[in-house]
Amino acid sequence: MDIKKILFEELLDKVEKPGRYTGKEFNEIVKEENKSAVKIALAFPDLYEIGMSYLGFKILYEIINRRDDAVAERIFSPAVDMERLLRERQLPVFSLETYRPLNSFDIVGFTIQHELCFSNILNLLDLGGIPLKSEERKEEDPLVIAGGPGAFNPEPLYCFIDLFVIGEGEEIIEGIIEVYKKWKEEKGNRADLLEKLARLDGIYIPSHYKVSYFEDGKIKSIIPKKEEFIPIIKKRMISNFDQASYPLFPIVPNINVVHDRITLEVFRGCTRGCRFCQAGMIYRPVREKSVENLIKLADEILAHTGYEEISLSSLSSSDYSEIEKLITLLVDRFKEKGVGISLPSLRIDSFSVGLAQQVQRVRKTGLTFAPEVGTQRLRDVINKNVQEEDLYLSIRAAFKGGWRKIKLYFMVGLPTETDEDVEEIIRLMNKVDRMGREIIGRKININISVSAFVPKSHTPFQWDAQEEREALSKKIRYLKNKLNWRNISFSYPDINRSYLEAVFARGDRRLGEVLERAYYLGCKFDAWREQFNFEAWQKAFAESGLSMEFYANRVRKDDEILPWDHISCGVKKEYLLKEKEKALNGETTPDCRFDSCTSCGACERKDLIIWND
Amino acid sequence: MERLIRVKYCKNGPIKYISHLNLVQVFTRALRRADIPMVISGGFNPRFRMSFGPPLPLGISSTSEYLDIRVKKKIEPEDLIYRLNVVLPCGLKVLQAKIIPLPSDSLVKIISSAFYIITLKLKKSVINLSKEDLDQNKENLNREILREEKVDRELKDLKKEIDKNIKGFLNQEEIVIEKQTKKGIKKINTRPAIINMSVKKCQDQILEINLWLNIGQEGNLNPRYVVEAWLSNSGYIFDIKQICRDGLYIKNQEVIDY
Repeated sequence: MDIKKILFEELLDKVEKPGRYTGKEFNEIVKEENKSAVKIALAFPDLYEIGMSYLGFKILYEIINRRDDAVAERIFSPAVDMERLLRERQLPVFSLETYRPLNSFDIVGFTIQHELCFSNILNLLDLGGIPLKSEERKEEDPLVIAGGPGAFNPEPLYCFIDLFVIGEGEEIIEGIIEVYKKWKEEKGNRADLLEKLARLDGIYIPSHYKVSYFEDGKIKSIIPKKEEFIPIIKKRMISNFDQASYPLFPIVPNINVVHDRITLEVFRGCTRGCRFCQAGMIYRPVREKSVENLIKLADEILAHTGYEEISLSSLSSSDYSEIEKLITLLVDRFKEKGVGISLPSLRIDSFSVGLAQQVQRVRKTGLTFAPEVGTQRLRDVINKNVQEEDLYLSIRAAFKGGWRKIKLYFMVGLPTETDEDVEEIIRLMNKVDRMGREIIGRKININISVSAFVPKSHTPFQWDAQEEREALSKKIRYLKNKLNWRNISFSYPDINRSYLEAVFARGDRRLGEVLERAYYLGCKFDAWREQFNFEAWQKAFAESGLSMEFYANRVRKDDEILPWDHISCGVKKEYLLKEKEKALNGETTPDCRFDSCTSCGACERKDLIIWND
Repeated sequence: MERLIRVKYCKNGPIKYISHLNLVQVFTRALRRADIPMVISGGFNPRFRMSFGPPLPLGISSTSEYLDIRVKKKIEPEDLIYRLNVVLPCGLKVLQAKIIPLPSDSLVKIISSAFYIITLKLKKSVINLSKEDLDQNKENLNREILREEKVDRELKDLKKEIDKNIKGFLNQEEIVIEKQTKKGIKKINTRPAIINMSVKKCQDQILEINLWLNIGQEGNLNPRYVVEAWLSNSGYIFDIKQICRDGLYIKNQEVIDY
């Protein structure tokens, strides 16, 4: 069966955006067939446009393909129209490089960016001709692995994924290849392979652990099935981030993708310590790349890609220790070539606005701020170490600096939130609006994005309940009605989706069954509003005899065994508990970069290079 | 010293599936990779000064597309061709380049016609069917389930017939097609845009048609619509396998030779 021939002769003319499926972009790596090479599919459980924006796979693609003994190819979820054509013709989902079916790879590696892509993982396995469940896979089936932030609570996927990579993939992938290669030469069986891989640090093999439950559904114990399996899996982490491998030849897509620019990762981790933020915990500690190195990288990547924009990426780029120097150097260097610099995430302070002004001397695209909540009290609870006055100063600076459009992020449903906190968002907006009119002399465009708080694992709020759906909906409706001004565009979430996210974010193994049922009921692309089918999810839960409230709306006791207790991101549980207590008392915790160590545990490693001199 | 360079390139293979808008970006990035000393426009959004010929619809390949670029320093056309071809993605290739005296009208303004070759594959022929058969089978025809045994003639023999059929098709006062737009279905008379249409080759179940279309103020007609209109008018059942733009003309002269 010649997939390529059928694709080009019959399928591409019939689908929307055929450029998603052709491959052959600049910098794509197509290797000659080599039987002994370990073939790895980097499988992204969403559309091409989303997946091609993901830095993690760019990094892995280059590391793997640099080796003579390994091949990495890309696979994305086909859109619904393409999936229908594939299923009609009984064709498997295929890689963009060699149009090879998913099940012909040695290793299939998924990234889990969020909980709402779980059903797409199942769909890709099914479309790729791979049995959904680990235990049903035969010797000739690929090893199915997964990593990314979602792997920090991997349990709902425990029966579908053979092995999880906990932590930074670039640190571990080569180890996996080595073990796999050796095992292939020795012609071992699947169980052997898993046992060998289990010896690598940062590898979690769910079938090596047994989870038992109390009658009320809480976890009784999580126990390794053999003595040699470690009880707690610690995340793998790059020790020398400055010198870590960075993709110099990223693929330049031919069609528009979400982040269509050079991503220059200036640092990893964030210690601002916002208590709702999982990324702020699991990527700790902060590790920077040096200015010299970044300039060098920018030069090379630009020469290899020709992009018109370089984005300084991280969880909070204005926190980069030499940000002014870096920006000045980059702006001056690339001005002549018509290449702009952008800062995707701005902190709320006038310093950041000054930086934005410097990088956007020409392009005034709009500034985004995240005050998150309406009152200082609640802002202290979530440890968003920002004063309301900072917000006004920043916005004032933005208006004076020529911006006519701003975007503000808010969240509702946070712990301790009262009606007054929500009400205060409106007061805050009134003030911003007035400021705009005073400075500019007319109404300014404001984009407001309100989301519903989803408690995540490995955060100080991991024990907390998500607020009831009705209450969340009411708050959002209230804001929507009150902020129904002509100069405001208001975006808000589908509460049922936030609810499902909350269920799976702290789900246990029993949700595996629910997921499978939901998949067979047709659930996929849950992150896409038009595809999300909440009724099907409810049906799947009912059929499995499990309650969504148990996962989303229940407050856990401090000593309850949490489904991810055997997965460690370095940040200690005691620290999270302490942070939870402080949150309830409205006490803040300063950033350890500018204040004393908070003893979170993330740096407790001897080989770690954290600061750049 | 600013220069205007006219670049002729081809677009085929996988990259024919990208839109004109994406193509502009693909070229912008390739020009930057090739380190061509492009003139950059001022304003809020700095861009390379370049302009393309009439857009090629998605899924259509071409042997002769055009692009004008402004460079700020002297660069030899041969040098430009070489440097660009090293960094263009699969399916795009620069064939020729030449310096055009300034000032010059834009390509879109001066290009007046386009030549297409459409390759079709015979699915079923209804030539042998009687009128009753046709009426009876109308439903079935649409569902493309006409029985194979009705197809008992070589396509070769059909060349003259098809030629005649096309002549009849072109003899109509109006050839109206229905175009799906965002606002609903729009009716367009395509006849004025058709300069000529004829059979190029007819062999082994493959039919090649030459189609010459006006490009101008009235717009840039997608050749697919014309062929589809002819197919539904004639009753032949072919699959359109490929459409290739094989020339862009300024007053009967290929653009690069003008």
